[in-house]
Amino acid sequence: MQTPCAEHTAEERKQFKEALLPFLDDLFRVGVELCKSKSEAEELVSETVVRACENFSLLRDRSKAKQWLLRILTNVFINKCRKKSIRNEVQYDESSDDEQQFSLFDELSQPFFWWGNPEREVMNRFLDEDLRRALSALPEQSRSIVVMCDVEGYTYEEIAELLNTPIGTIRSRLSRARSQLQRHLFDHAVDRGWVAKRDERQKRKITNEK
Amino acid sequence: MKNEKAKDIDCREALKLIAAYVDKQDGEHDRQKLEKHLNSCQHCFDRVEFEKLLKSRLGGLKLDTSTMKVSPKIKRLLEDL
Repeated sequence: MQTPCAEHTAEERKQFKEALLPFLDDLFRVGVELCKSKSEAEELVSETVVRACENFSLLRDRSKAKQWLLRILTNVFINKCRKKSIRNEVQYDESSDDEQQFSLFDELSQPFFWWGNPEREVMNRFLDEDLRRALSALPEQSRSIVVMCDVEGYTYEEIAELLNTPIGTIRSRLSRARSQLQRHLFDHAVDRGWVAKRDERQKRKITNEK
Repeated sequence: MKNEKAKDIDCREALKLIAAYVDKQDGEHDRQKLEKHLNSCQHCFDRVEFEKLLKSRLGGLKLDTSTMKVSPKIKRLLEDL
C-alpha cells in the first residue's frame, strides 16, 4: 500500500495523529461490531485511517473529529457491503418497509396470563451469545443500524448523519432491522423449546422447564 | 399534572410511538401522550418494558475496548504516516 499522507507536511501528519489517536479504540470497537470479526475490522479501520488522512484538510472543526472519523468508517463499511450485496446479499428495498413487522412481544405475551410474565422469562433466558448470534444473522446493513442505535447508543440524528440518510428512512430501516432481529430470537427460542410453535390461531405457550 | 392535558390515544397510535420512546428520541408532546396511555394500558406498558429490556440487553453487548488491543498492522500504519 502506498504510504498515506505522503504529500502532507510533518506538522500536518502530527496533527492528524493527534486527532485520530484518542478515537482509535472507538473506531476499532465499532469496526468489530460492524464486521463481526477482528481481522475484517482491521481492514476497515486501516482503510478508514488512510481515507481520513487523505481528507484531513476537510475537517475544519477538530472538536468533531470523532464523528468525522466514524462517518468515514461507516461509509467505508457501507461501500464494502454494497459491493458484497451485488454478489450475495439483498439490499434494502425501501418499498417493502410497510410489510408486516414481526414482534417478539406479540408472539410471547399472554395478556390473560396474569400470574407471570412469559415474554420477560424468555428474554431472561437469552444469553449474550444468543443475542450476538441473532445480530450476526442479520443482513449487514440491518446489523449496522441496530449496532449503531442499540449497541453503540447513537441517536437517530447521528445515525442519519453517519449514513447520510434522512431520519425518516433511518426510523423505518431500524424498525425493519429490529423486526428481523426479533424473528431470529424467536426462532432461537423455538429451537430451544422455550416456546412452542403455534398454528395461525393458537397462542404460543411457554414451556415450564427452565 | 402535564399528562392530564395530553391527548388520549389508543393502542394502535401508541404502538407507533413506542420505538422512539424507548430510544429516548421522541418529543415532549409524544412522550406525554404515550405515558398517559401507558398509565391506563397494561398491555402497552408491558410492551414498552419488554422493548426496553431488549434494548438494554443489546446495549450490554458493547465491546470492552480495554480488553482489545489495536493490532500491530494498524500501529504500523500509523507509524508510517
